[in-house]
Amino acid sequence: MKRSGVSVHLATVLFILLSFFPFFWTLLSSLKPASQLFQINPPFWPQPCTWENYRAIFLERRFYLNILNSVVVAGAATGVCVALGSLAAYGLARLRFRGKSIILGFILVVSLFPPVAIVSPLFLLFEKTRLINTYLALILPYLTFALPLTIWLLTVFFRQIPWELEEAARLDGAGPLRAFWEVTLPLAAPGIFTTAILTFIYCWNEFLFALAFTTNDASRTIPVAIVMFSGYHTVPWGQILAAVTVVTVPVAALVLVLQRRIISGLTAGAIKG
Amino acid sequence: MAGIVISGLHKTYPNGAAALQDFHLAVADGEFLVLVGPSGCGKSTVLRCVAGLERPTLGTISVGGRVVNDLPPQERDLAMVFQTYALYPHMTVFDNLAFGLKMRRRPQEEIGKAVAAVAEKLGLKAHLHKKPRELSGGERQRVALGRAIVRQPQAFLMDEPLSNLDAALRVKMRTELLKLQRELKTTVLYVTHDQTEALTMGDRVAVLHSGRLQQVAPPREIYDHPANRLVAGFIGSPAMNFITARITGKGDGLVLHLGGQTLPLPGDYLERRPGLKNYQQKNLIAGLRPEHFLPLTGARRGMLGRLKIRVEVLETLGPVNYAHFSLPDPLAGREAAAWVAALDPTVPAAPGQDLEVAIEPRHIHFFDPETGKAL
Ligand SMILES: Nc1ncnc2c1ncn2[C@@H]1O[C@H](COP(=O)(O)OP(=O)(O)OP(=O)(O)O)[C@@H](O)[C@H]1O
Ligand SMILES: [Mg+2]
Repeated sequence: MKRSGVSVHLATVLFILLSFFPFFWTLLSSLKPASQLFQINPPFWPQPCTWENYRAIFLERRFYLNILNSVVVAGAATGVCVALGSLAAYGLARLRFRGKSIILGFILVVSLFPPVAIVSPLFLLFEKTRLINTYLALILPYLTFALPLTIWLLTVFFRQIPWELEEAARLDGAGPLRAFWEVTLPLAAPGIFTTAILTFIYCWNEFLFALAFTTNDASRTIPVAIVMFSGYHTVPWGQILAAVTVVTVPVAALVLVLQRRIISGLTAGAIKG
Repeated sequence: MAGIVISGLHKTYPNGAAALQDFHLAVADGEFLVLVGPSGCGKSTVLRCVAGLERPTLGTISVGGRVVNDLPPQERDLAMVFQTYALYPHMTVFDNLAFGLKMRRRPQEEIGKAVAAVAEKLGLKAHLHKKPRELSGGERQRVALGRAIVRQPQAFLMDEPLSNLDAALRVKMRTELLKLQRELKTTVLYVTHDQTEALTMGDRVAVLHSGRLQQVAPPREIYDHPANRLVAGFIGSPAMNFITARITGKGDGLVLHLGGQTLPLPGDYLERRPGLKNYQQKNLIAGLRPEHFLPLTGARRGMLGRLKIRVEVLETLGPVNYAHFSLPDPLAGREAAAWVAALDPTVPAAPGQDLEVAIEPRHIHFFDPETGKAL
């Protein structure tokens, strides 16, 4: 018993070290002067430790603009997605109407469209409507791809919440929207946070649309901006590593903060023993 | 507080299930009316229609003299206790109790006072800061009850509120609930499938069967004078025994044929039971409650009809023994009817034993074999 407990812990620690090491190496390397990056047998710790790469991406390349773009695009897409998605999912979970399964199937089909197939038509569309290089050119396609997943996940979540809770709220004097807001939504919070995280990460990392629908440095999002660091002859690895470090931290922090919200069994105790 | 009047209620669900047909019921102001019936007979449907959670197909519902058919649930000012309690799991007991008042925009101070008063009354004071999942079944049940009474609604609707409790707690809550209702003098429409609950709690009892109302009357009358065979068979535990019977002869020769045996009836029996006049020489259904079998004691010997039985199974419960036996049922053309007699433990009885038991003719119920109506 005890021995197996120790070995499980050991395996866990080993696993964490292994999966964390690449990121740790990225962090260390971003602090090294360029000369040490390409050395055979590079030193483990950066010596001397230098902020040069960070200075370069923020002051020379104005990388903060790209971060801002990503935050705005991913944040807006996630917000709209969760708002629209939860209302749609609520309707699909609770209401009885004709053609419900057809609608659900149609939503699924939309998400199965290969993005590559619609890049060109979308580019033409956005060019005609002068949306190229705007936030909207990214938010709209992100929504179309993130919404179906959100709706499907949340439909399942809403179905698990006993309808009686809402009925009780109605009798307690709440209108339909109030009952949704006060009772159903808080109980669906784990599902909503889950879909929010998934959507945000999808938008944060998305590359194809971002590459196609932005044409200047100032309007690019992070993934595209990092690729564009490379010139014809040189690849500024140090700066790329610095940028990767900078953009991974907030996402990791976000997931860590929100994951505490993703507790299952929140509905325990609602009904009987 | 207000009475509830339901008239001509029909409910057909979208899938075509006719859950209620021509349902009329008036719950008086301050009355505790129990709606009882077997599972699936439409009891919850009645409550849900009154509460506004389900739209009636036909019929009107009024609360306190006001027709509420077109009002949404939140405007009907009724409180419902659900079978599953339906407590808000993400809120503390205090917030659960306060929710109804908060929705009605009462001032904070008033809410605090009202919740404290209810918590005091229901013994929930120590639990106000807990979440429902940290409570026992009985405590949850009391929170559900408290959530209903804190608002002082026009009437309470209760859907089997005690059915998730264990037997001992159920009996205790039964009396507590009654005490509470007497104190608050609120109208209660209480649904249960448990006939014991119905008989012990209701000012009046309404028996529902297959979506049709069978009888509404005080408990004693339901028990003594069931309106038809369905009510007779549902109310009482163990259930009433039935068999096909026939009355023949007249005057002092009046006899009842039943189970291949004959029981003498008093000469004036038909005068006292005028409903039976047209049923002489015809088949009818006789019903006898298990508790109406009497031991053959010396003094009573002459006055009583006697039935010879052979005990098949004997259940000994302590205060009473249940003797299971079968009576041949030749008039109905079937092999035998399974009967139960509740016998005093002093009556010596054992499986396989032949026994004579006494029946008082006035205890026998008669029903029309076709319509099932009591005669
Ligand atoms: N939403 C619904 N859709 C279709 N049929 C329904 C619906 N709700 C109930 N029914 C049907 O209506 C009938 C009455 O149901 P109801 O829930 O009122 O029974 P009940 O008397 O409360 O039973 P129980 O004691 O088991 O709770 C049942 O035959 C049931 O199958
Ligand atoms: Mg029910």
